[in-house]
Amino acid sequence: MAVDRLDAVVIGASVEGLVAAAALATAGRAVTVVERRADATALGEGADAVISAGVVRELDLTSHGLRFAAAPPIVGVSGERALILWPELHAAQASIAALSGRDAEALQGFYVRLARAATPDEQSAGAWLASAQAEPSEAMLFRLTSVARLLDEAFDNELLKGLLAQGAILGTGASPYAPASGQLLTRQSLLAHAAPEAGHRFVAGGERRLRQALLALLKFYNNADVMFGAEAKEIATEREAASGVVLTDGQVLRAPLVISTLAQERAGAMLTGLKRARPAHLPPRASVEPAQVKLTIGALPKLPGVDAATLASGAIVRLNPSLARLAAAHGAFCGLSLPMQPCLDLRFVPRAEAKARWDLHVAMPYVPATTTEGPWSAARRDKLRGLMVRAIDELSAGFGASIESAEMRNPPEADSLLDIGAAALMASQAALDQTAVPEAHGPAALSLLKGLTVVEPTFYGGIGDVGLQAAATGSLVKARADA
Amino acid sequence: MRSASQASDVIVIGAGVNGLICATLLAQARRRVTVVEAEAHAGGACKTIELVAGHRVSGLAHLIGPLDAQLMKSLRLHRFGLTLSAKNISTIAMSPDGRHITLDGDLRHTAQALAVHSQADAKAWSHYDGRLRKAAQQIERWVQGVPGGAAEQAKAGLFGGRATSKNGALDAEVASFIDASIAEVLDAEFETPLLKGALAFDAVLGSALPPRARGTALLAAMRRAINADTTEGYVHPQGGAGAFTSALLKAAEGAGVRVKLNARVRHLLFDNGRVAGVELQTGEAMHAATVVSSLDPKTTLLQFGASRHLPLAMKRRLNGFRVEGCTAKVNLALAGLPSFKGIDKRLLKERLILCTGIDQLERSFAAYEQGSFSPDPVMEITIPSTHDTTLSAGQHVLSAHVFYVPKNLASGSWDKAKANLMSCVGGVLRQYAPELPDMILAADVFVPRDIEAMAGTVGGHWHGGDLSLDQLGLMRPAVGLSRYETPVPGLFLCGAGTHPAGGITGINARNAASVVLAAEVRA
Repeated sequence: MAVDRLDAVVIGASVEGLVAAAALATAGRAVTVVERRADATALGEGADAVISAGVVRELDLTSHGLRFAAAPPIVGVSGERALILWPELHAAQASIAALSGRDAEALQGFYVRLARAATPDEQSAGAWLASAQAEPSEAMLFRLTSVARLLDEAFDNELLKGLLAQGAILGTGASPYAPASGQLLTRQSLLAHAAPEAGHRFVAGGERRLRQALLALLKFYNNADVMFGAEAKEIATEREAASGVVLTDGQVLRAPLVISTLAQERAGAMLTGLKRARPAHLPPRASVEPAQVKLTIGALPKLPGVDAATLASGAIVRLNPSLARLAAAHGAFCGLSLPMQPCLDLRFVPRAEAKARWDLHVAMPYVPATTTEGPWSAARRDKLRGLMVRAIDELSAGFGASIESAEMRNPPEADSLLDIGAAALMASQAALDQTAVPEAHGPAALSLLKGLTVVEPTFYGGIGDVGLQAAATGSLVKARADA
Repeated sequence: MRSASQASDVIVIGAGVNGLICATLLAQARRRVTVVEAEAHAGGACKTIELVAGHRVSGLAHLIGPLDAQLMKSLRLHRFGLTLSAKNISTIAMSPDGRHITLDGDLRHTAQALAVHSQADAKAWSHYDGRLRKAAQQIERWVQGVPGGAAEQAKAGLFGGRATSKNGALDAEVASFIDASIAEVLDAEFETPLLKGALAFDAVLGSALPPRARGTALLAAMRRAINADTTEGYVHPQGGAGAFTSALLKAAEGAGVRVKLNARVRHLLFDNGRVAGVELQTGEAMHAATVVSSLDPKTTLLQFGASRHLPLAMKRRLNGFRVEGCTAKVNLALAGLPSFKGIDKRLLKERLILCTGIDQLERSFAAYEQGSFSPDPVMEITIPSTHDTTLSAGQHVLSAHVFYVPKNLASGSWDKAKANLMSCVGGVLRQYAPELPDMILAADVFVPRDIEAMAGTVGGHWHGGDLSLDQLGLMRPAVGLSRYETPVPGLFLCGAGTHPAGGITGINARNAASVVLAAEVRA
């Protein structure tokens, strides 16, 4: 490390943490990322990474090896039918027309509305409502209305509505019927279809490649450093402001700005040396992750109406999606139990090193952090995985036999709940919030204390937005613009 | 040829509370008004029914109000036979261990009651009350007025142009308060589950919204704002809800309104795109330049031939208006007055909330979402016979709103499930009043499906439609239909499906009347 005085320390090498560090590094700031794990490969890999347009622009990530992929088709399978939302409008319309001619026509109008609604509206929904003198803007309409109502008004076909709704709620814990959830429809994957010019881009190679590009960028700047195998023990304070990070090996990294990607409760508990009481916890944000399993399979399942080439192209497949099924699953989730019928999101990714081998990423929304039977033990996680596999088997007999290996990412085992920080923090009772909609439209980097910013996951915009915002909280990035 | 005596300026569809109030106000403004009512009796959701010989009880709504003082003054219902057996009815958060909390609007009383549970909450109460009061003050004009501004009201001068000035901007604190969920607000203020449960229950009661839904804190503030201009709060008419309807009916007739019972509307009549009257099921045509419907907006606009005058997008929006009921009404005839743990019998005249915490409310909602009901449902009960002896000579009647009960069950039929729901209700009541279930002489259970039939409103929803952010103010019942006007000139809405809805307040009818009169001025 070339510098002896740091401007910022980032705890956790999650994508958001790395983006924050990268933004600081490119602004000429001395920054160090500390990561408990031994290397980057232990950090998990999401199949999808939709990077925010702003992050790509700001960090010039393409110069560091980042490549983009076309938006994948989104496939809904129900009984003997399949509906494919191709990224190309007319192809999508042709697929929908087989089910509903009216809906096929309505798709274009809905995309136009989605693109308009994606422009943030600063005012809060309740405040707008109670002082409105005129009809709502499209963005406000989406902020006020539930996912289900917006879709019911736009379309007739239940499969299409379920397909879109499941993409909206995945990972949020919100019911599609939750008031003010409509904005979730403007999330990345759909927006990539509706408004490709809005700029959120699918990253080729997913989260792993995105992290690689970020690490390459940090390596390129000699004012930045990433320390693997370095676990933060305390966040030191001086004069009631964060002043650095103490590692478990006793090493002290002093810096006026600490950005933590750990759960805020955990970051708060790590504060030492405060004379006043610890800062009150901020209201918990949406912090729900779907159950996630990565299966390696030797044969693609046969699904009605979808050919193997489509599956292999990285399609996102939703099994029996419907508003009713999502609502029932959400009900079970709020009752801290598992649904009778899971709603699954599948993503097939060909394995680079082997032919006729695919990684199948399965995500299942509405899985509570703990259930009425207790927290997730290894045995109960296996049972959950069995439930997920059986649901696929029902549509494609013999699927189970094609599984060569399985790796479960979520839900984490009970003792690792607070392990990798906010990004993996599971639904607690508080996170059962029906409307995982942040107060302000946009990323959630929150200042917990002077000099300490916590990064919370968000479901708006693209990946990286929160990290970018976190980097700006210490006025360090802005300083560059002034200079 | 119509004879002059039969001619009407205005036809009001439906002789429920809103229909009758709207008709009376228009008649007071010297319009010739006819009310057509499909049933043999007026009242809609406000009727007194016989449960079993010798026991009468309010069929659906069991408390009236809060009614606007000025509106009450102009209706002069006391002259038309309305006697109140109780007014300013308080709310009591009941606890199975007898440590109930009375919420009577008196800061000191409530703080004392809270101190039993938590000193911190006793201290926090005035802070919360202050926040709520401030929010209510800032949204009062919005709650009480015509969405998007109350200019029409000024023009019409119904009440000397009082509630008219434009809504001020909300300050940031209030804006963030009303945008939040009630559970979030309460969790930040208090620690006593019972208190939080009762306050959250009150905010969401009647709507298919869980306590963690965004915008439910707004409902708490709305309730407070509706209460602002009342002198009597929640009242109970002597003789039950039907007695209120009777007085309204007499007041209407006293003002010159013609009320035609057994007159079910088949469809609306149009003339050049304007509404021209109604045609009854009997084939009789009734003409008027103005038609005001107190029926639910879906029936009014989609069933009576008006839909061809609506833009397609509006029809789809109206179809999306959520009106599916989620509350059941249980009426019980009791052999005597049961004693509730830890509570003086004199307090049994109040409104009792049986909800031990936000958890219980959430569990109940979780069951509802899965098309079922909780074995441990939450409820609001009244025992009107404690102050109204006309209802049940010497014995008692209990009325309960049981919450969240789905209109359609995921499995099984309501015919069979009603007995199960009743035993769940009995189980909950037993926790508070152990001998109560054994005193039950007769019971009626009305699920949303029954309420749909009884009140004649699609969906059987308590408030005529969920009180969610997308169904209030300019969004109620749908964008473009929120100001009591419709795209059909001369056709207006005044029922519970309009802003602000919820409760028997008469605000919908009052605002609709002012809009009708203002529209005449414009035309």
